Amino acid sequence: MADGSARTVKIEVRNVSMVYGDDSGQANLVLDDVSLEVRDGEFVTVVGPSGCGKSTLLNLLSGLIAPTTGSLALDGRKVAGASKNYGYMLQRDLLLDWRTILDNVTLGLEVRGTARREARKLARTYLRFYGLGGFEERYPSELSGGMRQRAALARTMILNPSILLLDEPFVALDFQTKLILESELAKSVAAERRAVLFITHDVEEAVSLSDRVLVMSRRPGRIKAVHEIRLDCDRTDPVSAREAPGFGESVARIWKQLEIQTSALDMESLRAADKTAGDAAGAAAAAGGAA
Amino acid sequence: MMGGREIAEAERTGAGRRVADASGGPDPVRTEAALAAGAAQGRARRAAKRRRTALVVLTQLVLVAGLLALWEYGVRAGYISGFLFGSPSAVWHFLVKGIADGSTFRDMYITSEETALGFLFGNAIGAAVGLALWYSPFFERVVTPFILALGSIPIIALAPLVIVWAGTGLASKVLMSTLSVVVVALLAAFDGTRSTDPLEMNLLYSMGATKWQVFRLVVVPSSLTHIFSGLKLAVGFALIGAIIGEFISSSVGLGHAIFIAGNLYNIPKVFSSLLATIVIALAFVQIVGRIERVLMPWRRIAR
Repeated sequence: MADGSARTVKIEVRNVSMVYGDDSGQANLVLDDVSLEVRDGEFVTVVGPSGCGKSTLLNLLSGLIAPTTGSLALDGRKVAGASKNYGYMLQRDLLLDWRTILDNVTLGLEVRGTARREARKLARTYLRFYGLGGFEERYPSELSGGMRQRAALARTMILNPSILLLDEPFVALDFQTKLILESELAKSVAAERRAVLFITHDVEEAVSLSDRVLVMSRRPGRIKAVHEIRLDCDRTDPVSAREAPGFGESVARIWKQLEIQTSALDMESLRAADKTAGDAAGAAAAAGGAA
Repeated sequence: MMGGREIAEAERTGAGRRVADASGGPDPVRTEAALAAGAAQGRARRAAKRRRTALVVLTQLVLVAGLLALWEYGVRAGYISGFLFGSPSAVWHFLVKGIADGSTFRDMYITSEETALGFLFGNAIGAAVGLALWYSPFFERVVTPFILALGSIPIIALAPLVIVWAGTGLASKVLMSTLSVVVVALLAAFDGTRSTDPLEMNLLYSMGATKWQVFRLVVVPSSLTHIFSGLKLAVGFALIGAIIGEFISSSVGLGHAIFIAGNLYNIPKVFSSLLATIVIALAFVQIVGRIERVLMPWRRIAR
């Protein structure tokens, strides 16, 4: 971007490597010298084959785990130990079962000490905006997957976060719901100039939404290519983005770089690698939560 | 089959009603019929369900009545010793007598009071400590062996100490009941904190929550399920504690009544007091279930 240098860096990953060591002393390199920057108003997506360490990257940014070497910063502050304030959405909506939809949306406001009445009023507005008017007093278990993820989007956006960390938030949804939520996300990001780091394995989703797509290699994860995406269309409309000239070419180019291999042996090793990474992240999360 | 244009044509002219059935839109008459059939099927299903439930209850009643009749017959015909096993009629006699002179209700009241207090104290202390252990992994590791040691002591072995320290009155029974509940409650609460979803905790941290807020907003409520499944177990433990306390030393209560009657070989009286004990246990489980439904409304739905 021409005016890129004038904007503040909101998400910064500098020379981060991540090694999971097991008890036998074997080192498992997951991320290899990864660097990236997201400035305000930028939508950056990381795509890569499964097991490439995409989610590890997000766990690092959210402070769930610490990098072996390198540094990470959100909003100019180092990730570790800093008081946190970013929007966070995953494939799982993480709605709290014991709270009504309304109370789930006010969660962040409650954490910040906003007056209850004010918080509820604002949450009602957001729920109506995201098409969930009338569902305020329902519990999450009563809603469909798409509605739950809308509620999660409302819960995220009500805090007006300047940084969004999103890990495949729409992957479990049907195609129509996904397009609608993508559009709502894109509008909110464009209107408020949020900085977004979006992780997905869906190349079309990546190209339709992003200013920049980073392609990661198979494990150990490295950033092997950077694509600036310029589509001549309304970027908040994922359908018109998919029809824009150049969309198909970008998708095809990125697909080629993804080195998707499907032999049985490869899938096995990927699954094993995924499992080690997942276990380590889970253990670190449990320890971090209790620390 | 008809093409789309032909159907549209047929619908516009109203002529195609009879022929449109192969691939056309809904016929109101058929829709009505389907709705009526669906409603009838629903009614039939509900009726069948009621019949099945009635059958289960009936079978249970027949089973109990049959066993009682067999028992009574065995005693009267001399196959079973009435002295060692009592008989339903003798048990009934003691039930009526106990109710008439008020002793059964007094014993039930005393035992319920001890059980309820022990249940409350044991669960309050256990849940508080169990939840608090989440706060400090270091403290948790320090105290875990002591908790397990306390949990492994058969509660009856503590009875002499409890009687010596807390006397022979209400306090000793409540203490016995509390002791038998507290470890179960503690472990249930602690298991609950451990099963808290780390991603849900991280969501709270991402919003800038403090550790206390994470504890209050996520860890405690998500532990409730575990705590409540512990509560149902704890009802039994509280009752055991109270009854053992009464066995060892007391002048009232169902445990006392069972103990005295047993020593006098008054088997029917033992059975009638046992029945009263079962009534108390079932009542407590019911109450806990009610409280659970009130405190966890989200569990009533779609589960």
